[in-house]
Amino acid sequence: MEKSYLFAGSGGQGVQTLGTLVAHASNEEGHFTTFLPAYGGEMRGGTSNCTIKMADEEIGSPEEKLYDNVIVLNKPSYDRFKGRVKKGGNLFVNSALIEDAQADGVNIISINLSEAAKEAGSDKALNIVMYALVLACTKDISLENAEKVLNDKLGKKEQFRAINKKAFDIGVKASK
Amino acid sequence: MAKKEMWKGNEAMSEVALRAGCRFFSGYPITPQTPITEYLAWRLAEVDGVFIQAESELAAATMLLGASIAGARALTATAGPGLSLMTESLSCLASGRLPAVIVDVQRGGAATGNLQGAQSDYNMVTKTLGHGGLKGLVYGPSTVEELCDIIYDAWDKAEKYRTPVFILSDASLGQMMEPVDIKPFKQLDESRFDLPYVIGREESEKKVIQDTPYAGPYSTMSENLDYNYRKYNEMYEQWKEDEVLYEEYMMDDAEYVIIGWGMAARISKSAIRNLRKKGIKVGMIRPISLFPFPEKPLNALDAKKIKGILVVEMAIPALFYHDVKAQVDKNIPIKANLHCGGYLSQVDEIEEDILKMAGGK
Repeated sequence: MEKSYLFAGSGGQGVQTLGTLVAHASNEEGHFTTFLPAYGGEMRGGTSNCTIKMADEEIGSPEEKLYDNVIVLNKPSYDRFKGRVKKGGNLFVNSALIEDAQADGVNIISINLSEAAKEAGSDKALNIVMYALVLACTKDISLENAEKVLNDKLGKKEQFRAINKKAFDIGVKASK
Repeated sequence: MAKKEMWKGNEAMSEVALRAGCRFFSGYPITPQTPITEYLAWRLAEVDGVFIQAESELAAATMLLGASIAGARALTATAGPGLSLMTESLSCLASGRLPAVIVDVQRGGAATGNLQGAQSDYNMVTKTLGHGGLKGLVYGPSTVEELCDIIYDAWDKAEKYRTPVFILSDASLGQMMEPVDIKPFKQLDESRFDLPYVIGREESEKKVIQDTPYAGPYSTMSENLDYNYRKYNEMYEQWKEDEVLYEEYMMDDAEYVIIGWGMAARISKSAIRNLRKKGIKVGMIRPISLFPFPEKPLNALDAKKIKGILVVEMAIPALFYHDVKAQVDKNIPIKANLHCGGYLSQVDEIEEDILKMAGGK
């Protein structure tokens, strides 16, 4: 087993946090894991992205030409990375900022993250909704481990824990 | 064993350095090294260590020199142009044969270059530390865990041989998160107090850091330099016997051999697995110690068995390639797959190069 993920969005949307959570969850699941953030100009605004690989053997390259799963949270990221999905792979899009997503031979999974995050109780929770949706769809990591990592990493404050829990449940529900 | 934790290379390396006994860090922030400086700024304080943000890289490396003479397990880290600024003190460390650890989180290009990963400081560090032609042990890890393993033992090596130890990381390894087993704190041996450069048991105890028959290591007498450097050179030669580290990967039946180090080598492993699925017998020799250079396994590659060598390296012009070429049988065809300026080596290109060597099979 070797699975690859590419997460992209604009600085401030929580893309690095989202990727970091998936990486920790993958480690929790017992997979060999790599997390490689895009480092450089992106840190100072513009698009932000990171790649994750999980496997049952030692991982060589931490990046890929084509990914099993590409997750884009804004339009510039969609334009840049929509062609980087493997045939039969998944393209997760934030329909609040990306209208009429299209890509041949890949599964497009759309969710309006602005509405979902509002429903969860905070605009900032959009990355947590996507976290749950992605992992619930790909099934590379159990939801138990995904939720455990969410609590371990972001659950220190009670009020955020409640919002995150709600955002997580909305994401899981959207996968069905 | 406890479950491994996900750590970024820079931070994992810093934590492990502390656990290896490092209690002094002087540095100047520069991308992509900055997280090391940031981490040690708060973490060293927790273990009664000394952290100094110097006014420049030259000052940072010179403080390292002082801390080393005083007997501290001392560390500095830098990147890109910062390394150029440190060279003056690096040659001083090499000339005094002082134990200290230097980490270069390599970034792309020369001068300002850019902030992504590269392997283009290879020659600058493996050929000589600063001016004067002297050396240190140099390592090129390829995973976060290996980076940690190397720094965990770095001061033991540095003190055993009385030498600077250099670790060549890079922007991608420093920023990457991977599962790591963070090792326990080392108990330093009491015998450290008897080593010549280490501060003595008593405050007034005087020590001589160099036991030459002449003046100390920084004397300008020709007889002294000649005497010392001959001894140093004997040590460097002995390292070839005792301190060479490398990994052989799928080499048992290999007809094609990829040779690379650090990130370029680990990326090549993906290509090797893909090629093996296509029936191509390809393996890899990966130097981990870059000085001493693993000459013997390269000398041993048999032209009757090996049909081609591909050197994968993140530097243009090639640097490491020439060290490999000097060691392998001239009858084996050898090619280079090069990237620079922050581009990582690419799996599909490595596969293509090997397939071309194999005659388009």
